Amino acid sequence: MAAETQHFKVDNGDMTLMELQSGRTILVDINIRKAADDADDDDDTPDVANQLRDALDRDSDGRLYVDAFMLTHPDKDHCAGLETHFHLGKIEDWSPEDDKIVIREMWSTPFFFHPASKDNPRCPDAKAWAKEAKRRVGVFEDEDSVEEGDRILILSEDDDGNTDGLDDILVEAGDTFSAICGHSNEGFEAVLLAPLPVDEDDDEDELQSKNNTSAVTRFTLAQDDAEDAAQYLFCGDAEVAVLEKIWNEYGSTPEVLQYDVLISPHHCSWHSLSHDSWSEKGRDGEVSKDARSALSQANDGAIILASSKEIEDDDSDPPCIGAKEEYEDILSSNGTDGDFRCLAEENGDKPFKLEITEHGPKPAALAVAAVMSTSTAIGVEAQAHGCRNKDS
Amino acid sequence: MVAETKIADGRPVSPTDQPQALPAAIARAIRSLDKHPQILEIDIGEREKDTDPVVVTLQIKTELPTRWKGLSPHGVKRVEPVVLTFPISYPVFAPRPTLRMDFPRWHPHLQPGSESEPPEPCLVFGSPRELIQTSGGILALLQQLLDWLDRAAMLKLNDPKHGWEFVRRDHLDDIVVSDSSKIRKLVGRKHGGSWHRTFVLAETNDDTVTYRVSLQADKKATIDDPTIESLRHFKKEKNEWTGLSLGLIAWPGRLPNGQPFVCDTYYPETVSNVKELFDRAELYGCRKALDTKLKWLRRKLASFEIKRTLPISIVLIARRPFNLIGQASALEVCPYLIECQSAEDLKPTSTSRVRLAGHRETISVDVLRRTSGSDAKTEWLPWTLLGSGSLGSKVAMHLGRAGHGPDVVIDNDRLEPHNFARHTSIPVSAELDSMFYSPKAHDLALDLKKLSQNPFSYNLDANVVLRSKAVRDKFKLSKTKAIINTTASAVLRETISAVKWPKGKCPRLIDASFMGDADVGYCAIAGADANPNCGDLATEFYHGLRSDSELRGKVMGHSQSEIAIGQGCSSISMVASDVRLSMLAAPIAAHAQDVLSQKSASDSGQLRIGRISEDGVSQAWTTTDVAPYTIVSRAHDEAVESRLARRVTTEIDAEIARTPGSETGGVLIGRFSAISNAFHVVDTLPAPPDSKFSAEEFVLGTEGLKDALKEIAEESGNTLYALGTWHNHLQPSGPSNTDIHTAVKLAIGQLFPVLMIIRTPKGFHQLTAEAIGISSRLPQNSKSI
Repeated sequence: MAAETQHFKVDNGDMTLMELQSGRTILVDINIRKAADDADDDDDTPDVANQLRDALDRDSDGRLYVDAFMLTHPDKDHCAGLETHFHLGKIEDWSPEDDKIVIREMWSTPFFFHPASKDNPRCPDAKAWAKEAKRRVGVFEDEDSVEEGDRILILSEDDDGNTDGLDDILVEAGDTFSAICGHSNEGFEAVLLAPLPVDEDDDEDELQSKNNTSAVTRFTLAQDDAEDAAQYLFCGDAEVAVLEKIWNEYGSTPEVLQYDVLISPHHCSWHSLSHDSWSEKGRDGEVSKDARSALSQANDGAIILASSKEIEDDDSDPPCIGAKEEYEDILSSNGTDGDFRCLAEENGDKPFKLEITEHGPKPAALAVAAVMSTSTAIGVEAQAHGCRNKDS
Repeated sequence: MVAETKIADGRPVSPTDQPQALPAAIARAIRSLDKHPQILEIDIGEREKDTDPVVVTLQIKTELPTRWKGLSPHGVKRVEPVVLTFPISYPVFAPRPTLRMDFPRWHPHLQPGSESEPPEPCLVFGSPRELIQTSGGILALLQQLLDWLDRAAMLKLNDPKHGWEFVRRDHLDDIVVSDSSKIRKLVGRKHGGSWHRTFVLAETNDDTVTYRVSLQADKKATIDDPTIESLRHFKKEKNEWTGLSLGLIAWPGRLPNGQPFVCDTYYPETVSNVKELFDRAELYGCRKALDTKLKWLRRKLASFEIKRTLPISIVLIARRPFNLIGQASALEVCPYLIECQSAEDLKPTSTSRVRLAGHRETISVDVLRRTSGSDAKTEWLPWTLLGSGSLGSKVAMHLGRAGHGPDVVIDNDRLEPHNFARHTSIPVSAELDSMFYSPKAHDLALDLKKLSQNPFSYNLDANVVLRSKAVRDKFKLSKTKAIINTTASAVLRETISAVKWPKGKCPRLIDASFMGDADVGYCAIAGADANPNCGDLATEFYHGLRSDSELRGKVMGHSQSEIAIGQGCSSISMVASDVRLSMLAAPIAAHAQDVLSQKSASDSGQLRIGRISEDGVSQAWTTTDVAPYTIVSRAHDEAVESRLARRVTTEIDAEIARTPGSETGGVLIGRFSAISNAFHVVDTLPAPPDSKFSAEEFVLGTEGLKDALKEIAEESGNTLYALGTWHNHLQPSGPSNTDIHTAVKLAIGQLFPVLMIIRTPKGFHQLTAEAIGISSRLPQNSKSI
């Protein structure tokens, strides 16, 4: 089958489903807000929960599943809807009435070893993720073999040593991995670029904020004879300090940062490119050379995708017009001739879909029905009717 | 005031703006196009007159794989200008799309056309204007256009889902008519070629000539002197001549690695001379075959003087990676024609002109089957039609049009004037067919022959034909695997039921007729090995009438008084239109199709009954499965056979279980067939309350029995009646003296044999008795029941 990725329209949040050539599915973050939960809800928020369910297969026991679910970091706009829509706990407790989605293998940074705190609060979904991750680590430690539904992969070493002895389920920064649920040859390869260990020179507080402990990962998807048909760089909400650190770490091997699709960090935030405040300095703010370099390793024709609200020319951040302009500049440099796209500005409610070809990702053409359905003014605003003549 | 609407270039398109206002439908279409996110800009061309077409240029954003950086290696750009030319009659006529002049013309799915015209994509397999009307307006056409560009960019205009596009030819000189299924049958594992005689019709017009060539691919020709000498022109008329010539079919073989040679690149037609024809044959993997065959012909022609042009057809076969559009084959037929004037013209280096010929299918079984949706893998049973009347001819023609007509047609009747009201045959002329009544079987066979089928037809009584194996073989029934009786003849139905087929050779038997005022369709499908047989199923039908007063009313209606009740309608007795008969004939043909295509592979029998509702249009069909009958073996071939329905044996065993330690019994209901010499036992009546039960004897009482039998007769239209009795023996013993005595007594009171079924722990036994002689002279001391 042809690999493809779907990028759900979740405003300022992330939600991506990758379907590999082998048929395996990898979900990266979710932002299923309450308003998006219910198809009957009289709300314009796309019903991403059902869109996701429609895209998934059921196993032989009738359970919807994703093969892997990577949570870049435990912010609400990356994990909203987890408890409502995903089965957490033992697989045998799955109930057909609830019909929740099974996560065969969790991919998580080691944040869950540490309790939430006043400085580091967590939403209920993030707490639920942490609890489930701990359960799965426990299963790994206690059982001889671990079944799908109990599996976990920890993305990077824990600074406090909680991952010691968990080598078999640990991916360290800089490592490449290509197995899902213990099976390799699935037509993908991922390199974990961050979180990186904190050095003595680092500003520890800044680097250990939730955003900066985001997993930064570069995926390479295969299609037909092309093993590197498409490269995707996911940065979560990584901010400028992390991206600078990444460039320092990988600047000598920039190929690990190459991408055909970059999910622009933190929903097209200026803070991923600059230490300055956009609302204060605007276009006078200084762009970090290193951060920009880390995000500039675009392949020919690359797409930078803003998973955000529509980008206005104002003080907002994120999404930030300044970041968009910087990305457009990256895409027009060095003959890249790429394309900047904002999910909120793509037509229709359906996820933005990229089909993987041997020559890179290809945006799927929009079906006419999607256009027709938006061609009525009815339902957009109140429409006056009646016998009374309108005042002229 | 109507608000002015502007499209990208700012030009007004409101129909109220004169003088160059656009027709409203076109303005509306342009608005819709403008709404699409992949349309970046719309430009509306200037018009001089209101009657001029509206030329709209769309700048279309294509979605390409990222690494191509906005230019597909197959020539599609990130932004493609496409011109839509709207006739002012839009949407009665569709807009014509054209691409930029330098758009690569080697793509498939481009309309044939001149190099001086912009290329025109072929967007719809069918009618663009119908698509616009039925599938979402202009946006549906736009979607096709976007898909087309997308596929062109990805080099996927040829895809397995839709099929391989035929080689595009921008003009055609001639036509080669041939059954493609027969051409394809020639293609084997190895490369090769074969010569065929052709019949040529040449039409001349000033300096030009068009050849229509008929090539019979299943008849090969040997290239020798007699064949060469036979080639000629004859019967010259003013603007046409006919003649005999030759055609060559050449096909590809295998690659050195053993895989079939597949031409998976789309090449539009470029052949114009013999040398280029050889080059093309190389691409298709059949150059060697072409070379060998033409070399031999050249050698033979060398000693002949070609006085007049010899139009030689060449058919190259290209094997494609998947099936061609609308075809069940990946082998593409590519015909050409060479006007040969000397052997030199056929050399691989010759620059003699090669004409492009279109392939035209013959009316063939293959085309009929394909068009009717027949699955090539399905094995159909060869079948015989008994009765070529209004129902039989319709069933045969329905199936014949699907390429599955009968192999044998038998009917002893002739087409009389009234038959043409409903028979499928059309008279040659009203006068001629009024003077000569042709046999129905022959007329039907003649029509089937026009559909490339060739059934044997016999103007005979089917009762005679079915009588013995020798006669059946003589009339070509030895290979038949299904027989459909549409005669509505109860006699023939019984004859069919009486036939003793060799073991394992019994065909599937179908008995079909119209009933009532042609508002009931009857289709009985006998089980495997004719069990249940058509007689059993007719008895089941009568049994069903007892509890279905509505159906009974239709079948036994007073307008049917002239025909045997419930025995089906022969056309002479029925006044009904062709429309009415056709309504039921088509479903009956569908039922027959189920059996012939072995779709309904059940071993049991079936009764399929259709009824037309009061509105005269709606109809509903019910299917009832009928389990095989229990046949009580008879002592010799001439003895009467007893055939017991499953409900009869079930009830007998249930009654025995209800009365343990005692004999019990009851009355057998059904009918007796004098032709098949068989009892069809369809039901039982319980023993009357005054019956006596003991371990040694069962005495059938009489209380209420007469009334019960009268009711059965009435409910079944006198088709069902008491055949005799059944009782059980507690020991595995045959008929006792008491049984024989009772049977004789009953026989005297009955005008057909009496049946006595005895159920013992080991099985069913029968005792039959019949009184022979004049009734009034028989002993009168017995009471009949």
